[in-house]
Amino acid sequence: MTIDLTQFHDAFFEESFEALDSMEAALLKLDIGAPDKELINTIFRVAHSIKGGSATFGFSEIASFTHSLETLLDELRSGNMQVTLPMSDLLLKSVDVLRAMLRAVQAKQPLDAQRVSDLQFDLELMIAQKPALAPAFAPAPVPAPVAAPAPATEAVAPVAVTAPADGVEAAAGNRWQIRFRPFREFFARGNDPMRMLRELAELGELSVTVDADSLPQLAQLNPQECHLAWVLELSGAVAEEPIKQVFEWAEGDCELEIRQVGGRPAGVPEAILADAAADALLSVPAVEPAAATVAEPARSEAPVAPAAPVAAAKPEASVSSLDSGSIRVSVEKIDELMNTVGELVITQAMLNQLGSTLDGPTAEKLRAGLAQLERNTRELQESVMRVRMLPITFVFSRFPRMVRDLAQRLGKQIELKLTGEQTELDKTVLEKIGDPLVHLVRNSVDHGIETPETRIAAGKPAFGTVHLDACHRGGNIAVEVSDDGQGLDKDRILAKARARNLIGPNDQLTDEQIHDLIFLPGFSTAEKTTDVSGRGVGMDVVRRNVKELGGKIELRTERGKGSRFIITLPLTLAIVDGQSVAVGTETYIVPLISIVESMQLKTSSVSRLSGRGEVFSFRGDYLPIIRLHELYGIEPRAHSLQEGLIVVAEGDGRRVGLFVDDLLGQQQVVIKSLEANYGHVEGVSGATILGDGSVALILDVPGIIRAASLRAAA
Amino acid sequence: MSSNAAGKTEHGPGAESRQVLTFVLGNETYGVDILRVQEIRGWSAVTKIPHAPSHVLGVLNLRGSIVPIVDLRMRFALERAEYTAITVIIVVSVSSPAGRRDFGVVVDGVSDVVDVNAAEVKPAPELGQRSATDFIRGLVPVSDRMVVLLDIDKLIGSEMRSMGDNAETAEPAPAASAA
Amino acid sequence: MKKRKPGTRSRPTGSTRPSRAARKPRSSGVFTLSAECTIAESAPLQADLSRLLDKEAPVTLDAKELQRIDTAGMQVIAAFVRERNAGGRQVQWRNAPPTLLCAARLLGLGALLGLPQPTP
Repeated sequence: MTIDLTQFHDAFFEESFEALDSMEAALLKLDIGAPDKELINTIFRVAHSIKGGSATFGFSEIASFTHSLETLLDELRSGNMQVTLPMSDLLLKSVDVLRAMLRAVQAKQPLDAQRVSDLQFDLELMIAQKPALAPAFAPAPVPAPVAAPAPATEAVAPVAVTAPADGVEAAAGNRWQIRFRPFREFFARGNDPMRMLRELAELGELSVTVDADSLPQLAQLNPQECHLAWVLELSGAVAEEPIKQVFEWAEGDCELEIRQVGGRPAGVPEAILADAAADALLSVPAVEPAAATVAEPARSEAPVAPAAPVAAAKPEASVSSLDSGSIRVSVEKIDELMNTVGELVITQAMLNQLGSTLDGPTAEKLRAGLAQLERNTRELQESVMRVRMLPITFVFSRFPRMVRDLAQRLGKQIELKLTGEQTELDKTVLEKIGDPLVHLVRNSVDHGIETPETRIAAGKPAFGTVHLDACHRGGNIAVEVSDDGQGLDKDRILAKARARNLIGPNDQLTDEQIHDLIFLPGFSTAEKTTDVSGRGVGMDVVRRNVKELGGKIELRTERGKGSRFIITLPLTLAIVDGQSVAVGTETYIVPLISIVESMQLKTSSVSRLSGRGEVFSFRGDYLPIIRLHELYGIEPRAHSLQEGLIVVAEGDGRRVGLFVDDLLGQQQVVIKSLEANYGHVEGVSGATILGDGSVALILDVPGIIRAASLRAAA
Repeated sequence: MSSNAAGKTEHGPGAESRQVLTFVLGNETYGVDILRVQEIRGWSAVTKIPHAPSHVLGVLNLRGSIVPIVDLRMRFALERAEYTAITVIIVVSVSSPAGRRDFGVVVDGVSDVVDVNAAEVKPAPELGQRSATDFIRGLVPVSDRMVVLLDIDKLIGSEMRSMGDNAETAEPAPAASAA
Repeated sequence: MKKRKPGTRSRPTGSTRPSRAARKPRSSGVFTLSAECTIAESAPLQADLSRLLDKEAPVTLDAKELQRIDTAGMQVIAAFVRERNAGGRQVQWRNAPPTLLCAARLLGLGALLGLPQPTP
C-alpha cells in the first residue's frame, strides 16, 4: 500500500505560506552590514524546509529554486558572504516568487517559468560573485547536508532539518540561567511574559523565581505596566538559540541576560512540566517532581526521529507556536457551529419568556433550569465566537514589506509602527478589512508623508512615521492609521467641494463635516495621481467597504501635523449591539454604533425649514427629523414630537433625528438575513428574532439617511 | 399515460400521478405540488417590511430563518379576509434564479392531499391578459370541484423579481450636501 | 475602560435585558473572578479587589469562572494577596482551575498567592 501524499498538500502549502511570512519578516529586520545571525538562520530554515517539502511532494521547480536560494543563504550563514542591499532585495523578490510558485502549484496552474528562471539566474550569479577572500570550499562551521551541490532530489530533503548547524552545541544536560526583567511598558507592547515562560518550559525543565520587590501596593499599581522580574533556570538538551528565539519579539522591551551554568540543578523550587500538554497534570494540586521530569526526554527525542514529510516541511522557528496543542479546522465547520448556536440562543430566549409566564412549584424549578441553560448557552456562544477570533497581526504583517517597498520607490524615509497587533477580531471582518487598510496605508505613504527634504525644511525629522494601531473599544474594535505627514488642507477640500457642487457656495461646515467630504465618491485631494495610490479607487470605496462591515470611518487631520483615520468595526458580523425602539406595534433595532444619543425634544428647539422639513437644534447644528412611522407607513402611538423620543443617529457623516415612540432596551442581537428569502430592503440591514419569537428589523441608518435626503431633494 | 388510464383513484406512484395539496381561497380551490410544501402552520402576527408590495404582509420567524408571508387573497385581488386562529400559512419553497427560497402563503384553509393524474389536467383557458394566468399550470377536476393548479415558481418568482427591482431603484445616488 | 475582550461581552440574545452587569464583590467575602482576567480587564479587577483590601474577615477568591489570565491579571491578584497577607488578613482560594495553577507556576507566583503547589 502506498501512502497518498496529496492529503498532506494542504498542510504543506499552509505551513509554507506561513513560513514565507516569517522569512519576509526576518528579511525586513535584517540590518545591512551587521546582520543578526539568528535572523539568517531563520531565513535559511524556511528556504530549507520548503525545499524539503516540495522535493518530497515532487514539486521539482520549487525544490530547484529553493536549492539555489538555500545555497546563497548558506554562504551568508557561514559568513562567506555579506548581506548587501541588492542581496536583501533579491531575497525579498525570492519570497514573492516562492509565494507565486506555491500558489500556482496549489491551484494546479502553470508557473511563470520565465520569472522563476530569471530570478534563479540572479541568485546563482550572486553566489558565483562571492568574494574570493574566503577559501573556495570554505568549511562552514557545520556543513549541513544541504550544502551538497547536487540538484534537489527526493532524497535530499526530509532528513536535513533535524541537524541544523546551531543544534550541535546542544549537548544533553545543559543548564542555563536567564535573568529576565521586562520594562514597564512590556504589556503595552503586546508582550506577555507568561507566554515566553511557557515557551521556555517547553524547551526543557524550567524553574522559576519571581522578583516581586518592585511590585507596588495595589492602590499605586498601574495594572497596565509590568512590575515583575524573573530569574529562570532552564535545564535539558537546550541550545542557546531556541532560548533567544523565545525572547525574539521582546527585544528592546526588557533586560535580558542568558548565560550557561554548569551541571544539573539540585533543588528545584517550582518544577514546571515540559509540555503544554501536561496542563491536565498541573490541575492536580500536588504534582510529584518525578512526574515533571518524565515528560522531558520525550521532547528531546522529537528532533531525532525521522519526521514525517509534513513535519519536515515545518520551519523550526515556528515550531513552538504551531505545536502548542492546536488543530486546524475548516471555517465552514465553525460557521455551521455558529449558526447552530445562534438558533440555540433564540430557542433559549423563547423558553425563558415562556417560563416567566408559568406559575406553581414546578415552574420555579423550571426557571432555575432555564437560568442555567441561559448561562451555558451564553458561554457556549462566547466560546464559539472566540474560536473565530484571530489577532489582527494577520493583516498588519503585510505592511512592513509594503511600506518599505513604497518608501523606496518614492524616495521617502518612513518608519512603520505597529501596535495592538494581538487585538482579536472575527475572521470574516479580518479578511475584509485588509484592502481598506492597504489603501489607507498607501495613501499615508504616498500623500501623507513628505519627502525628507520637505520634512527637514518644515522642521520635522527626516523619517516620517506611519502608525497602525488596533484596540478594543466598548464592544467594537478601533483600527487607526495615522501619519505625521502634511495633513489635509481644509481650504483646498472646501474649494474642491464647491467647484464640484458638492456643497453650496455659502455653506458653513464644521471641521468634521469638511473631513467627511473626502469620503464622497470621486473626491481625491492629490494634485497628481501616482502609480502608488493610483486613481481609480478613492476614499469612497474605503468607506463603502467599512460600512459593509457595519463599521464607520472618521478622519482627523491637521495641516502640517498629519492625518489620522479611525475605523470602528464590530467584533463580529454575526451579532450587533442594538437599541430596540418601538414605533406603533413594531419593534426596530438601531445599531448602537450609529447612535449619538437619545433625547426628548422641547417645542422650542424644533422648527420647520422650507424645503428641508422639520429640523431641531442639536449641539449647534440643525438636524433633520425623520419620522420612522412615516417612512414605514405605520400608525404610531406618538404623533407629536413631544410625545415620543428622538434618537440622534449618524451615518455617512451626517446626523439626523429618528423620531420613535419609545426606547425599549439595549441588547445584542443575532443578525439574520432578509435577503435569503426575500430581498434587500432600503434602510434595513437585516432582521433578528426577539425573545418572544417575533421578528424585528435592524435599521441601516446610513441607508435611511440617504433615502430621506433623496426624498427631500425630490 | 399507460397504466393510470383507469381513473383518478389510482394510488400507486405512477409516473403521471402527482400528489397535490389543495386549499381554499374564497370560492375557489387551488392546488400546489406537495413536494414544494415545507410545512403548514397557523397564523401569527407578522413583522411588516417597509416598501413591500401590499400583498407581502411581512416576515415571520420560521425555525430561525426569516420568511416572507404573501396573502394570496390580495395577490388574486379577492376580497380581504380577517386573519383568525384558523387562518393557515402554507410554507412553500420556490426555486428562483437566486436559489431556493422559502415563502409563506396565507390561505383560508387547507382541504386535502389528492393524487392528480397528469392526463386529466386541462390547460387554463386563455382569458385576456396572458400575465394573469401565467402562474396557472392547469385545471383538474377533483370530486365535484375544479382545482386550479398553481405554478408556485411563476407565482412567487415574479414577486421576487419585482422586489429585486425595488431594491435596485432605491440604490442611492451620491450624497448631495454635507450640511 | 478602553480595551475590552470579546469574552466579556454581554449575552447576545433576542430578549431585552441590560447590556452588562457590573460584577460587585458580594458581602459574603467571596469574590468570583470573572472569566477573563487579562490586561483588558485588569483595571476593573484592581478596582474590585481594592474594595476588599481592608475587609477583616478572610476573603475567598473563587476562580470557578476563570478562563483566561495573563501576567497583568496575575500581577494585580499578587499585589492584592501580598498586601492583605502583610496586614495579617487571609486570602483563600476556591475552585482554582488548571489555567490558574499553571499560570502561577509559570510565573513563580504560586507561593506568594498561596495556591496549591507541588511538594518538593
